[in-house]
Amino acid sequence: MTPLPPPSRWQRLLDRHSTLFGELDDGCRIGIARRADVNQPGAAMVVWEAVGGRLVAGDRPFPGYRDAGVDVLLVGDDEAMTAISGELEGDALPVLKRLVRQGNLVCYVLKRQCELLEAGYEDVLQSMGVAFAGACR
Amino acid sequence: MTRPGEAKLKTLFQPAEWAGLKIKNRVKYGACCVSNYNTRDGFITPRELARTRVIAETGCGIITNQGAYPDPLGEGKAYFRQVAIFDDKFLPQFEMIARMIKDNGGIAIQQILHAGRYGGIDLGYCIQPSIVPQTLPHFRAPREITKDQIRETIRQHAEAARRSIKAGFDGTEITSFMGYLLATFNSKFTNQRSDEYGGSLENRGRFMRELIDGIKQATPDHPLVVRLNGAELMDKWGGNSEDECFELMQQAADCGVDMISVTVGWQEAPESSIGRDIQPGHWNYLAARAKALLPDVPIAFGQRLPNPAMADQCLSDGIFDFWEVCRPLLADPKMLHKAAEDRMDEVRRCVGSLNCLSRLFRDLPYTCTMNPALGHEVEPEYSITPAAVKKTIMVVGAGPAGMECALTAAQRGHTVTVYDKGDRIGGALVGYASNDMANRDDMLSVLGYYEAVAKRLGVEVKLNTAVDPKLMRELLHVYDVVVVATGARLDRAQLPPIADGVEVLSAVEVACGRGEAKGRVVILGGGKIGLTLAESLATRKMDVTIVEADKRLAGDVMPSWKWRHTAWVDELGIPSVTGAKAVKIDRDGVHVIDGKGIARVLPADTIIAASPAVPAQDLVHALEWMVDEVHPCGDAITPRGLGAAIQDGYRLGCRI
Repeated sequence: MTPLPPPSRWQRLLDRHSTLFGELDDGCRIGIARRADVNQPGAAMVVWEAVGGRLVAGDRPFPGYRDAGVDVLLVGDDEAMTAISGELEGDALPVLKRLVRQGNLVCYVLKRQCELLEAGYEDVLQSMGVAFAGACR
Repeated sequence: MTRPGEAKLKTLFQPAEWAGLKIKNRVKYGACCVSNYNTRDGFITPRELARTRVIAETGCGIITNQGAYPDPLGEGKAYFRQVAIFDDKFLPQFEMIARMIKDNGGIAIQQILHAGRYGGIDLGYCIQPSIVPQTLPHFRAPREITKDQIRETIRQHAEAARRSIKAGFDGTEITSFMGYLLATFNSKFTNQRSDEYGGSLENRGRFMRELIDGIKQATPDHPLVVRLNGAELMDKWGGNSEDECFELMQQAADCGVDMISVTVGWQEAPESSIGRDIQPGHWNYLAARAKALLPDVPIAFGQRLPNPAMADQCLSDGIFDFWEVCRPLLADPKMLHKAAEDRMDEVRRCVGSLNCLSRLFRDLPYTCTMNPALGHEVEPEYSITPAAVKKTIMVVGAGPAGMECALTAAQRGHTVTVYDKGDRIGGALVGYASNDMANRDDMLSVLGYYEAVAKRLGVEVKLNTAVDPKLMRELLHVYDVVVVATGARLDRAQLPPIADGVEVLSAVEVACGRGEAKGRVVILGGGKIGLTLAESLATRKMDVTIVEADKRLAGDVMPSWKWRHTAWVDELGIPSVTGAKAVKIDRDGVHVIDGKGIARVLPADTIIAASPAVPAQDLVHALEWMVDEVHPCGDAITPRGLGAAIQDGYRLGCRI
């Protein structure tokens, strides 16, 4: 099983895409967790938090969906974690998008659409392949 | 007397018996969409009644009325203008609907729809078995349903069923389609409870079994239909496998349900289920599996199965017992009658654009790309009535706007001639349909429909005939009315400066085969025309790059279809430069300033412009003083798309 990559590796990705994430309001948080962990006590989560116009990666325990304390939560299966881990130093955003499309990475939204739009999430979620107004396929 | 189509589609039109009820054929109208035509507090409106009258007249043996939410709080309410059935105060309109269906020889079923995860639209929260957050931001934050609330929800469903029967319906239906409350209990994805309602499949199915039992006890002499997923398409997210879906069907059958309607997918599923990109018949194997598993339980099915002939074959082969059909009957409510008369070439096919769902997800009433009258049945302005003054009409342009206007006007008694400079009916749609990645046959069927109906109505179509003031002078006083449906054209004045000797082709010309792309191709414009052409060229292994001024592709594409184009662009590896301004075109290619302000040259052997477009309305002014009435129509008013062209053409045809 591929572990969740540590915050230091995510930070390099975030810094490379600082323009994309620059529109997020301070305090915006995106969490990343492994599907195998989310129902286990003491599960780990990496959190990207908007601070002063940039995203800062850190880690914290995952307390369950209700109290996750993030706006958006990406939960990946093992295939997703392997693919992301292998690409974090490269161009990982298209990989995230592909994994969301393929269903290996579920993108949960814990805030309402209007709140996310207000907080500057539109481009970020679009870049991850999340349909903003409902996929209804 | 047996009509010719009935003789051909013998099984489809064969009477049947179900739950002690005699049914005139094997077609069940499915409650596929909530219309959103009703009041904010759940009352059925005259608009809804008028639409339902049309549905009642479709000729289906069983007609399911759209889902009504059963709880006074509105936790089950999914759409702003959904109908409610939690109180007797709603009964008078339900009684009218049941009567309409029965007066037309149908069996009336009322669907009770608690939307669960997709509900609580007015409340700011939704209820589901466990707190699993939404994946679509449109929906409300979840709360976990308590055991007391489960009992109350079952009681409300039973009351709603009793009320439906009181209103005159023959039976009721509950649905786990698309991720509604029942589905969220059944699915591992949303049911993570640790009590007797969660965990094992037996426990997850407990809510369904209790719900069925509650309704059966409340309405013991009336059939109950359950819609259940044959595939959730959520298994990658931790949802149910197909095997688990069928085990749940077995549980429902063991509880004594009277029919299982097999469905596919959730609204948020990461795969397509009902769009045009799914080939007709793709999901039939799920119905076949259900029938094999439950030979004694009537099975209804129709997902992405839009064709009566295909349905007849499935019925003959014993794949299912009733063809469940909805969207094709939204597109053409007379489809079954035309099938019975062997006039299938005159059917307006559902092209799977999902305009209906796109509208619902914007909290708008649903409408149909192909059927301009859907949702407007109550308005006399949308009725085809005999014209008070019979006129001679020239329609310029045989695209959807022009043909729609011509056919509508002809039905009102006008004499109509259509002129087009091209060699076939269809206008720009020919190019779009010929390059459509999803299902060319669907789009080309629109052209076939216009050809067939024009022939039946005696509308003369003069192809390869350009209309200009010179021709009009020869035809002075021949026509009372000219309809200018000449579409849109590329606005070359807005293109960047083009060096001498460099040609820029129009996307429509290339799409229609009047221009040829060679070598490295750069397409200016990443809207639906540019994307469709780029995708088509890329599948022919051509090197294509898209330049789009907006920061995202597919800006003019329907919300439910945007993801499909952007996914194709990724899958085909088509590079795109967005937020870009094309500043110059020369022999080196297209010079752009990209979204980051960096100047780049995109080398090109062929440059194609898909935008900007302007209305081709020169004739409106040129003919103004030569004919009594001149009307622009469709994209010749302002460039939009197929749905708007059909709307414009139809409305003008009703009005002239």
